[in-house]
Amino acid sequence: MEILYCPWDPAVNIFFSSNVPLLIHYSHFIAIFSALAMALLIFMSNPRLLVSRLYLIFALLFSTWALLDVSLWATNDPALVMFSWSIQVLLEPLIYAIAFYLFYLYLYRRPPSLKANITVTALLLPLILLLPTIYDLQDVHLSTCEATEGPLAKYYTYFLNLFFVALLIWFGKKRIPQLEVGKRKIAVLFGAGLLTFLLSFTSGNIISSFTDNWVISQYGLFGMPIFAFLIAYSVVRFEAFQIKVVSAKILVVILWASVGSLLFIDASLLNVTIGLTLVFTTVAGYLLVRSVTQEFRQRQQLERLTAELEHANDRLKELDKMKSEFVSIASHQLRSPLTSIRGYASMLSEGSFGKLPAQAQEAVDRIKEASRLMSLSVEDYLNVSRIQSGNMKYELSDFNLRDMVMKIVADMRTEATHNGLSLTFNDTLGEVEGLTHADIGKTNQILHNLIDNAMKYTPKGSISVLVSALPEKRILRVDVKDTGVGMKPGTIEKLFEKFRRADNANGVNVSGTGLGLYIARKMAQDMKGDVTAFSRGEGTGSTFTLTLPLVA
Amino acid sequence: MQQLAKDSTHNNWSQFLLAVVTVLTVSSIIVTFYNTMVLRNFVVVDDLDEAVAE
Repeated sequence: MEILYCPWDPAVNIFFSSNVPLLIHYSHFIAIFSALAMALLIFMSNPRLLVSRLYLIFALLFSTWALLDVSLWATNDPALVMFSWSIQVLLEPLIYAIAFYLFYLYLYRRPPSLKANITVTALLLPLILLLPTIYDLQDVHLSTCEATEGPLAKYYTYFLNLFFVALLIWFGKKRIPQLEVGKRKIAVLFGAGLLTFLLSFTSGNIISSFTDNWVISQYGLFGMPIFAFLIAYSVVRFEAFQIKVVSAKILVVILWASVGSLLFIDASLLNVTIGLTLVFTTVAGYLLVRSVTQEFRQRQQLERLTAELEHANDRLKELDKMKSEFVSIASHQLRSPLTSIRGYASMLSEGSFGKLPAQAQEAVDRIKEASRLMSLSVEDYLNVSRIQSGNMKYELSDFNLRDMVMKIVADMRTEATHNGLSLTFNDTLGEVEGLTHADIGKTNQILHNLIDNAMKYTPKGSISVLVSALPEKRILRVDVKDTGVGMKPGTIEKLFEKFRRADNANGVNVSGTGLGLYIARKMAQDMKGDVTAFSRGEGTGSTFTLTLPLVA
Repeated sequence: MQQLAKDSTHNNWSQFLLAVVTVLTVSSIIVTFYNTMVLRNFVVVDDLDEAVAE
């Protein structure tokens, strides 16, 4: 049997022939290139995101459709016309279906329900199954190399396309008002981008199907790069990618494609194509300039804010220094009169001025106790002031920490027993002597503070003090473990800030400046050690640990 | 937990549907290709003379 061909030269490399209207290559290849480039950019930005993958499939199907379209224009072989046309008929509703899934996923961040999937499958099945039959394409006309569409191609595909568009609009209208305000605008942009893409994609085809003028359908494709850009842009915005970087890449890709494609254009159409390129360049250029301007403004704003912050910081430092000086002066001024008050109260209490009546004796004892507490507070303030101004002096020497702890525990045991608490000492040093290199007075103060705190915050139960060593880390540690009120995990770090006390402290111990642990940690840190705390929660007791360098 | 189990069943069925649609689509494309490109089993309306006459 003789094989019949349409009356023009066969296609060269599938896509080129004298029968192809000159604008076709320009409209199709730019659309394919921009859709694929953007989908790939999005995909590579986050390959695991379902939206990225689906957008890539969407772009691939669209590109296949557009390539088949060019081959349809170029070929003079009726067999290729029948094949390419059939696949196009199949691809169109698939592209619509994926556009719907893409939008649904974008809006709901999960795939549609099983029921929706079954419906979509059921709707697509007749098209898939009847594709090779005459219900799809009936015959091909030799004079034009155009097929006569059957009911499937002429009506059913357009019904499917409209159905998916309707679904897209319906879900958009339902879901967009529920989104956060910031995301609403982007979702509308995404939906509008998709819809315009789909409408410009097939509105021409629908018109052509009924008018038999297939040139019209090509103009819709010119809008494709812009819609592809809109969709890509909104995916990027919605998924919070590095917007500016990806957008700039996308814009450059579009410009590159537009200018590059000029090389393939026939001279007679140069003005049209240059005009179109100019439109792309204007849009892309405007967006790029706007982005750079925004960036510049933000940087200016940032620089201004940094300068303001720097100024505020200097002022704060100055104020802090003034405050420290004030505390230091005030404390010094307080210390001298306090020494007199304590001295004379002591003399009165001990009967140096004769025996006092019982009531007066009680009053003097109260004055003595109150002035003792006050002098401790003043000492704390002075210590803080010294730490902050860097004037704390340390006299470092080697001494036995184990012996010191044992002595302090023995000294404080009477007071603990008096309060109904058991205070015990233990060590697991083994062959380690327990020698450390630190300031004896300051270490003594820290240990007193930790044990004293344990006693204050333990209404009943026991306090155990354990000295141990971590020879491999050259550390000596003293754990003061109590069965007291304990702390929430969140409050532990706050304890070491100035004037901070645990939330439940006031219920147990009303006195205290909230400076003890701050000072203890600072002093320990200055001696190359630390003070840390641990508690499983309120009511479970706490452990405070002092670490100091191990010498031997 | 129940919701998770339900979601996972839905997912399995949805994936099964996707697999069915994919297999059918590919088969249909192959049959169409064989029918048109290899067997050339379609009607060609020879309207060249009419076109020339017009």
